[in-house]
Amino acid sequence: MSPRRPTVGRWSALGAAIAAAVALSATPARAQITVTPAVFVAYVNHQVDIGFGDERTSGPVLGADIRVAPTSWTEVTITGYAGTLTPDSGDFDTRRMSDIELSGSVFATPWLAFQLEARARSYTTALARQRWLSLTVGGELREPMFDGAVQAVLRVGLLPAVDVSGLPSPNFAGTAGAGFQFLRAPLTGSVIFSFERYDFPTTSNGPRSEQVAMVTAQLGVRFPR
Amino acid sequence: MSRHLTWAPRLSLAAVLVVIALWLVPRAVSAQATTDETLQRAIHLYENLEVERALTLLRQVISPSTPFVVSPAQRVTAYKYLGAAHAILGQKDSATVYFRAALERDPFVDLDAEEFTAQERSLFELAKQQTFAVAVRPMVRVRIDPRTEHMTFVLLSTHGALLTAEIRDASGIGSLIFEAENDGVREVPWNGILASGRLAPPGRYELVVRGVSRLDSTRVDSARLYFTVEHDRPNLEDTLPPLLASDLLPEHYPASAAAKELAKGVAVGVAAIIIPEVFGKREFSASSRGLGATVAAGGLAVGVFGYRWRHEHSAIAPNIALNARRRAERAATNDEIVRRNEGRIEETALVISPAAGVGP
Repeated sequence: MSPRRPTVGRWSALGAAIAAAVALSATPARAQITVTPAVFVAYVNHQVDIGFGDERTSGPVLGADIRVAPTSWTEVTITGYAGTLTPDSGDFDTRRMSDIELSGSVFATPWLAFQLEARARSYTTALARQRWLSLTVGGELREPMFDGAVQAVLRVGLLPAVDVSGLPSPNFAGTAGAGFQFLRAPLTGSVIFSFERYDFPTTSNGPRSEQVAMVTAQLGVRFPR
Repeated sequence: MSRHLTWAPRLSLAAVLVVIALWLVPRAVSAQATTDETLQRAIHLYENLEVERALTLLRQVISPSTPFVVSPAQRVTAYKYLGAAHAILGQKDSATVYFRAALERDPFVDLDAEEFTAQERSLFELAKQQTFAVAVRPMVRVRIDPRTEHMTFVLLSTHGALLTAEIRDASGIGSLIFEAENDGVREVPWNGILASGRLAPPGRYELVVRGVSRLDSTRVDSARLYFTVEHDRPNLEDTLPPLLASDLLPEHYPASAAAKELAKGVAVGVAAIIIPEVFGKREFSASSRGLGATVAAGGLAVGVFGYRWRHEHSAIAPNIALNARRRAERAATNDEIVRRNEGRIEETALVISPAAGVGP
């Protein structure tokens, strides 16, 4: 009776739900489907505190995503990125960060979207690999500027399900972000600051907190142009 | 019982009125009828060459002391037969005098060649030479399509004359429709077009006929005929009014739009600053805040740029295009209405009716 089996079941259900949502939203208006592949570069600042102070690593990551909008009110995005984070000070190990995400958005209004995101992330050092699985539920505001050429973006979310290998699930996990998206057809782009915070319960090893800050610069091309 | 008593006096009064009416009406009718009978008897005697007896009756008709009503037409007839009777008797001067009297009262009077002798007609022609009068025959109500039809004014000069006929509108502006030498009756057509080349607008008009005798240029005469013109056509449609501001979309952003652009940029900047401050753990260093500050600076810059950009680009292009389309549609609709109205105006018929009065 592994305690992780129910979590795996949740992921399967989530994947099925997202796939069903995409299929349903795509059915009535195939002609409106847009696909936007993009690449991005991000600078990541990862901080961990296990009771001995700030263990900070940072570095650039490279990634790509593909966003599919089956209708004008739904989006599905698959994102993947990876990079090496080096310690800013102290004798910490360099770690490789890899991340893959699947998110779906439904727009309640042209400027308000509700998001559901599943994420798998890993931190790999010379000694071990730590695997993170999480589910994010949140919302996003998109306010048009420059006659719609730019959108001011504010997002916030909670991670009700986080599964970290070797660690208990955090007591609190949340994310927030702010930035801009650009659209000058067919090019798209964005500059987004995102922030994640995880507070783990105190164990015999002491308290543990982690947070990830990231600035992402993205450039993509939307199809059909 | 009492009701019968009440009705009895009323019935008596009605009976008296009926009797009076029955007594008066035949007397009025008989007066007219008597003149007519006298004339018919006189004409019958004239036709049977009982000229002296006919003269007696005809003189009774024109006598100022006649007790009977004599209409202008009866008087003209009496004068005509008096002239004819005197002509038969060889009394040329008297014949001419009576013929002139008839002509002065009705220039359209004439002697039928089948009823009157050449001698009588010769004297009648002499009377016409001595009398100068122009006249226009009373008209009846007519409806004409000015594109294909015309009405006819019947003019007359008793002998050779330079005759002019002019139609005047209420403002006195005249349109000459006839100017030529004339002798006798002349039919002058008119299709409703004025000298301006336009259809006569609805209103009251006057036909003025003037004549200058060719026998004596000092002798002039004129006659007038008043009539009204009405346009008979399908009702015209009103064009749609110009679009008001309330019918159109705003074509420019309000002044507050620039401030909103600034506010959005600032909001992103402030959010990027406060997220690590409020959301982050205090124990961690400020490195995350540094990343947020980078985006915050960008947000402020975008906000300021957006503020200036909105000031310089206040036009709402989609609304302008939509409004232009609405205006074009309205103009096209009005053009179509104008075209339909022009078609209806072209179908306008004129209804020309005689009018009473002394002038337009």
